Amino acid sequence: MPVLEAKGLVKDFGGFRALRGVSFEVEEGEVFGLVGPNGAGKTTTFRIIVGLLRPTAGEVRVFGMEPGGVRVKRLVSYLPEDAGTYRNITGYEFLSMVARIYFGKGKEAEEALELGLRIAGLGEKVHEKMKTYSKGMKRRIQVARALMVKPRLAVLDEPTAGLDVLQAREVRELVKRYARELGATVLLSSHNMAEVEELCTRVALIHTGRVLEQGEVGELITKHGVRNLEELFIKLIRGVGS
Amino acid sequence: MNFEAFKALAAKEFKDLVRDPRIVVPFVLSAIVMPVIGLLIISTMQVAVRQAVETRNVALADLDHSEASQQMVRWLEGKGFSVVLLEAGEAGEAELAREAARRGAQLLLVVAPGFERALRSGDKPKLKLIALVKEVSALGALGGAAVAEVVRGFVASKLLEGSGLSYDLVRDPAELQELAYVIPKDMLLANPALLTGLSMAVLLIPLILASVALVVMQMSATAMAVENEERTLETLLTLPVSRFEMLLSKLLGMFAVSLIGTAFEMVGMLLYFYLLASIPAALTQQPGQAALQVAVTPSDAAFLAVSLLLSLLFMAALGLIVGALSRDVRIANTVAGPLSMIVYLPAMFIAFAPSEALGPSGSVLLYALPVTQPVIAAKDAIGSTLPPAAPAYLAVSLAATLAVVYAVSKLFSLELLSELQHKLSSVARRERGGGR
Repeated sequence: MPVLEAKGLVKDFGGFRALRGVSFEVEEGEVFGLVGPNGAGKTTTFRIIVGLLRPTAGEVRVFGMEPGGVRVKRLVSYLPEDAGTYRNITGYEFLSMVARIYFGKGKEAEEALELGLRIAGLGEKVHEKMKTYSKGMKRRIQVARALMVKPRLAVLDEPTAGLDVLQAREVRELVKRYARELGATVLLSSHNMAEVEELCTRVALIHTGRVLEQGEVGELITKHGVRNLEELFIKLIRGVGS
Repeated sequence: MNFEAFKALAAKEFKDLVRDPRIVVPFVLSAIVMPVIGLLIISTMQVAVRQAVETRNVALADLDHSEASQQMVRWLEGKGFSVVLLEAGEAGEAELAREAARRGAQLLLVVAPGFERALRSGDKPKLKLIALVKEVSALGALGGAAVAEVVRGFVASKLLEGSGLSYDLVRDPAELQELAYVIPKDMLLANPALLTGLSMAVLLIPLILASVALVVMQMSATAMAVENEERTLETLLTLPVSRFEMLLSKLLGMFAVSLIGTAFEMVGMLLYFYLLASIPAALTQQPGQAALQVAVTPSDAAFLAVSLLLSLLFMAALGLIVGALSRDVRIANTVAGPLSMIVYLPAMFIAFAPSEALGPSGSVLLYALPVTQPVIAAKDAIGSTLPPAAPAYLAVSLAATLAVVYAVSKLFSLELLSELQHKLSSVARRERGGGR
């Protein structure tokens, strides 16, 4: 059974239709990429998957359950694209709070906190208020928050957005290592096609609320006779535009 | 309920708020500003008192040239005043005043012709006391009172000569003890100052409670708007806790911080009133005692405490709604400002209007609403009695508070919030665009 099934998702915001029948499946243990230009519907799709929004039509099943309930939220971690941090608490306090929310006070919580601190890798800075953090440090804390609880499905919306080359590289390594070591399922979005090619086994290309193409990265490249995912992306988008 | 998660979230909320200068600075200011205002009032009063005490130079223009007017000069000098005699001649009052000021006097006493004749015939003699004002200020004319009293004393003693009566007797002819019996409280007040104290409390305490409630609403609106502004709400809503638990933990954390803020404000207010209560002492230069004594029974105090807590929780929930619908702190504060009128206007009405003006139905309504209940209850507990149905009103207030908390928990969804924020923004845009 797939970890995630999205069937015919439609989402209207007033008179604007953001999704027009998005369907895809994510299998256990794979890193799946949802790729598309700005305004394609990636974030809306993710928000529906984690239960923040309800679809106007269509349905989503995560581990066979409807999203949004406490039980399914325990299995899924979501990293929003522009997730902020609390200004006046330290990174340590933040990660500690997340560990307590998921695991209470026991050994499991301690282990989760330890993992979070390792992923964040902020050294002594983790004991300073998060308002003093750089953008990259804030993103690392958020990635640590999302992965430290060892979710069975991690939904990462633009995990490297706004980061410089080095910071983006670090976060990418974190995601890769996490997926490999813990055997978790990852659903991510990115504008960076090289990044998607590096991380993902399968992708879905989404544009103006529709999935244009989906499948294994290598197979898609071969099928469309292009050199890489970026060329495929441009070819498909232009095809829709013309 | 996941208590560990609940505690962790409440602790996060408390720490994040209590360390936020936007929250803490107003708290500290509220503790400082009121005593500073009190100190300013006191120092102004003290300057005025000092000026009054130091008003010892009196110029006197004697237009009567009589023995009686000469006696009055000696009387004034005997009371410690330095009297400068002016040559009156044909000069008008303005000229005399100019001359008096030039010679360093602070007051000019003009004795009109016929002064002695009036004293002899038992008529009121004519005198003019002109204050020589160097600067127009709020308390600038206090100095004339002491001279006027001395002049009255002289005139009265002259008029009473031969009657066997003393001026002190005529001025205060009876051993009249003034008391007050407060009917609803069945309380006899031996000192009229106590009634003044109670009246002050009836007026001020409801207003203080209203301002405390507003601080709580403002703070919770700010705290919630910060979640939107800092983009933390989305993450918060995906954590494995129910929306109700999340909201309650948020309310609890904010509530704890608001209680600290309330304590700061109370300290500020108490210092302010303590300073104001010491004004009579400052004026008379004698050790004074605050007249403010409030006769509130322990059961009334307990009712007030519970009512205030419920009211604050209600206001915090109201603030959450404002904050949740605001994209940032600036919008939250803009909305919370006018909204504060729903507390202030009834509070002003309750504080200043007599109970009859409220009418029975008005009183029931004010007791039923969590916003106004502690305000009207404070007024009644101090100056009257709580109504017999008070416990029932408490239950109504509790139900209303829980209903609002429940409603807010329903609102606590990204979908609904986004929709409402979008609609509010559209309305605001239309308003700005002049209905385009």
